[in-house]
Amino acid sequence: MAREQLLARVFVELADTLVADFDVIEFLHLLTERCVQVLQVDAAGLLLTDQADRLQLVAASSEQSRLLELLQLQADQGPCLDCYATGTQVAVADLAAEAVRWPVFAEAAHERGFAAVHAMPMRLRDQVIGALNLFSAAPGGLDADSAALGQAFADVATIGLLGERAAREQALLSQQLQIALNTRVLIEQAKGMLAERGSESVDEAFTAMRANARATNRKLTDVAHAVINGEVLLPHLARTGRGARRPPD
Amino acid sequence: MAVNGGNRTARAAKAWALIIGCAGGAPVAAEHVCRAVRAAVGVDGAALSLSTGMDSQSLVYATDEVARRVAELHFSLGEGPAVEAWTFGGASLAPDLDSATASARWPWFAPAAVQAGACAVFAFPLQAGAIRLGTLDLYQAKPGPLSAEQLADALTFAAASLGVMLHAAHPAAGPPEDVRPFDAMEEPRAEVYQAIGMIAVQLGVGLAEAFVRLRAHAFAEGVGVDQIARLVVGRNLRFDPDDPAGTPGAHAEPDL
Repeated sequence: MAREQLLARVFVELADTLVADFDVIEFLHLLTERCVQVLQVDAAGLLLTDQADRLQLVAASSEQSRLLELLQLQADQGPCLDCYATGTQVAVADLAAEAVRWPVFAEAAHERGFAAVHAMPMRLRDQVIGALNLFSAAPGGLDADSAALGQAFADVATIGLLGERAAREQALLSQQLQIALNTRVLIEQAKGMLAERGSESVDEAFTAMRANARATNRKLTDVAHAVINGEVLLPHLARTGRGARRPPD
Repeated sequence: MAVNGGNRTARAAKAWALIIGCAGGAPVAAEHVCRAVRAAVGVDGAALSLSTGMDSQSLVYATDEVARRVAELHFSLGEGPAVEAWTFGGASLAPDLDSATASARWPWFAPAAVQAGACAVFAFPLQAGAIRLGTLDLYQAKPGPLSAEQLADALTFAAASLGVMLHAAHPAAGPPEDVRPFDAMEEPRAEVYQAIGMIAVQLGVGLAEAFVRLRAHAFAEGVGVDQIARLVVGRNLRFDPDDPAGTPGAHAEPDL
């Protein structure tokens, strides 16, 4: 499919998610998945400020623990943190050359097979509320068009996350950020419970919950609540979903 | 001035130093958190309330009569920033209760709070995912927003309050002396929250109690919560429901 067609489909899909029964984690997860497809990178992740000096992971294109760890590392160092601090894009075409600047991050990224990284700020007027991270296995980084598109994804994430009122009112901005980060915590707790009950690994549990949410027409957050309250997710629904997780061609 | 992403540990350590100073050697309790947050954020008063539902709330401590009255108004009227914070799971900031916006939002609470002497109320949920214990409520006699610095401090104290209140709610799961400046070292990492979910299933307890057990065990072992969480998620450590002390039954060789 031509990139324009794919892009049109992706933005229609994201808009649908915003208009329908909105689930913040589902929306941000979908957005990171589509970044990977459209921008032809290998992984994407979003970090938000907790407004107490720290960036926290809120969504990633894959729930593999190895990727989540790499993203979380950036609370302490890395292009994402620099991007957040400066409010400007940080492009690193070859991470191997940045071992002095970010020793821990550069090594962790290398271990996971990433050679290049790009960070886009999530801006709201004069504030930065987080950053979108794009990882590539091959060195070189993004061309100018892809970088502009990546920034558009970051901006869509900001507006989608905050909604129109919270984007306008400072008091609501704080509330929305906290709700999103706390929902992420809720999802992690549900992942742990599901894994311990034996049906999934922690890495698979997210996929199982997401598939179940689609199959039962519920929000991802409602499924996570149900898991925490003891609901057993039917395995055939999870299997169906895992097959369906493949991104459209 | 806080550097983005750089000062969390320092901020949390400062908050805990203040709380422990207020406790003066006694086990840390709600009272000490409230007095410390009032001093650190520079507000006129603070209160901690527990909630188990819309109609089941209780005041644990208030620094003064106005703070107590604000908490009671929330309970009796069923609306206001604290109710909103608890319901939605995000800070609810009301910098000017004597305004048209506020009285449209909270028609009963806003004028009553102003009359009680609070023109600004800021409520923070005590929460970690599905765990939601209550709220930390701050008030100011005069209207005005919190600065970014004040907000960061208030959020840090809300996280500290969660630790204190968790232990207060589950005294059997971990002795009160376990309440210590854990939060200064606690990384908000996915693994910690996954481990809480796993421990809850292993012990057949709620998430709040599982959190206390995790913290108590980390304290007993003298390591960070994230280290214990990594062992649990890696299936190198299980918590045993038959052990009344709540310590893990099977110690794997820590493969850190």
